[in-house]
Amino acid sequence: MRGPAGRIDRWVAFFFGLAVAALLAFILLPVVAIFARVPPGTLVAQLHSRVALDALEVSLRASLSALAVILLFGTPAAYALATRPRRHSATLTTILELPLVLPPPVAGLGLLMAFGREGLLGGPLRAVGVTITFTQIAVVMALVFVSLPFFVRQAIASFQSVDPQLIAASRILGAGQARTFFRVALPLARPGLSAGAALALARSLGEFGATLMFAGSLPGSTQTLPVAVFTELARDLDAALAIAALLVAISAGLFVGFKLLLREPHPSWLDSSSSTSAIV
Amino acid sequence: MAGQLLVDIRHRLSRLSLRARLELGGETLALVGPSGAGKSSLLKAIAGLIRPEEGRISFLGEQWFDGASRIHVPPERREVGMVFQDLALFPHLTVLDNVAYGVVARRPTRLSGPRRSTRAEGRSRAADLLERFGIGHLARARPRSLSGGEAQRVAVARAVASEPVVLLLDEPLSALDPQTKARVSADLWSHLKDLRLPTIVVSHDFADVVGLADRVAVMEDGHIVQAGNSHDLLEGPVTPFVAALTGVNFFPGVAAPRDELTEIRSTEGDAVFLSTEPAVGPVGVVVFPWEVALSTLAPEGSALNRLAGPVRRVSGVGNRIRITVGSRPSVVAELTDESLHRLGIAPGVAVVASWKATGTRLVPRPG
Repeated sequence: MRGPAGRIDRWVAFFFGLAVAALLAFILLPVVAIFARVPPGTLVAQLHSRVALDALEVSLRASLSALAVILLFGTPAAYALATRPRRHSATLTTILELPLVLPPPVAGLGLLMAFGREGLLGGPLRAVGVTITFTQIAVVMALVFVSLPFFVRQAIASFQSVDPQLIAASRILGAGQARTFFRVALPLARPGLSAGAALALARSLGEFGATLMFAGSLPGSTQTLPVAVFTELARDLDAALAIAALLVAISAGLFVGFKLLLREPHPSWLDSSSSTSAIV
Repeated sequence: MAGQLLVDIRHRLSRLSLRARLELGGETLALVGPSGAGKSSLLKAIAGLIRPEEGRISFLGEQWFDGASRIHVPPERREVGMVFQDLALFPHLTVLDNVAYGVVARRPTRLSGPRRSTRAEGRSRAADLLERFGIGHLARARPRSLSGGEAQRVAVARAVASEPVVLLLDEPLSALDPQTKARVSADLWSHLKDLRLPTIVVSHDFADVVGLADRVAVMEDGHIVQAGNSHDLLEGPVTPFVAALTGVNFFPGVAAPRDELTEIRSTEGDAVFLSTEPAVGPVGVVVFPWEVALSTLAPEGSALNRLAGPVRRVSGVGNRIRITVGSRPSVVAELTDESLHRLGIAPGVAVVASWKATGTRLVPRPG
């Protein structure tokens, strides 16, 4: 029997569908628009421009350096925080996550006021002859600051999902803390760590505000792809679109890779009883 | 060989406070108790996973833990082998590498010689051990593809591969279904006998471990309330739990002399028991179920102890049937199948349970 209730259900279903369609269109339209104005051939030709190639090189080098720093410091820090009682680590974790909610220009300004010429550490740095502002080191620092939480959050969750009994078993079998970390915790947390690294890398490649504030926009030195999009826009719209298209392709590729890494929370070699899906 | 491992620790846990003394020679000790009694925590303290607040743990004079002088040897330097309740096999390693893990990881010790084993040596020792345990064909398998019994053997092989000085087994049979349990336990016990290691087996089920253990220690609320061989526990349980565990009736009471006998007032109900054994003050009354007679009429003869009530439960298999009488306190009698039918006993039937004063054994009861 189809009464009024049936009709209401159909309307509700219609609105649910409409909401999905509206949001999809809203997200896809700007992405399509980047590729729509200029024919693909011209886009590819524009990528051979000096500005685009320089920016690509700066972006890749800085993002990969930032990723290396994040992995080197973020992994042990995440392990330390994941294996402490939660009430001890909660505040520390929140501090490391702060850049997630900090507007990037504010982050850039903060870095400037800490490490810049007039900053808190400006005097000591000058004394040892180190200038950071407007160098590639500044780019890397800005990227690390902004993308670190994307890795650390994921890494803490991954380490927490490692069964503590496996850690205990390793210790009793004679392995010290270091061997236990490298032979048990790290391999078991690896899928989640890789996903976190992909996310942090994607965030680094797209970083704009903090980089511009702290490292400026020197072509061939500190001008990353997103910064180049902004500066080229004032000069040559087609060039800006070409760089934007390149960024869309790289970011989308990384994001799909991230999704694939997380698609199976229990990879075939993980025992379902001892791993958990906290890495979702 | 008595007293190789000496444990005397106090440690506060969230639900209970652990105060345990334990001595282990070259024997197998079953540590039995209800879940939450602190058995696993005691094992963890011995293994070094928990640092107790106070006390001492030593093995052959070597201090593993000493609260007073702040000694706490980390787990990796204690040379303990442990089998966890859910086995804790490394899911990312093959069976062979699981078993070789400890051989390679273990630092040089008095036993292993002057240097660490190489990976190849570890694998070859692991392969030998897998053969001995009859699971050589599983060397390249991953833990998740193993059956419960196979995983169990791998876990034991891994625990003993690096030649520990003490072996700890936490509920080694609880992860298994009843069908495989019997087969696996026989198998496990025979391997443990061959190994001749000082061993502690933790279980909540007396029946699971009684056949294996040289000695049984019963743990309740963080304390070891009684330790001895299983016969001692059956004949003289000091708490109702020990009695229930070993299958005897146990009534706490207060004893006083009466004529030439001893009269015991039960702390539950208004029952009074008579015993030929002399005692004064708080005692435990132990009555073996096979010494309790049941009748549907008031019994005649010399049986001075009587408890009346309806039959609550009839259980058991074969020729030994246990009948629980809903008296105060409740009592369990053991009858043969024939007498059960002759008396027409079934749940709900009113009966009188009786036994002689010579059948009332008295054991000391902690105040």
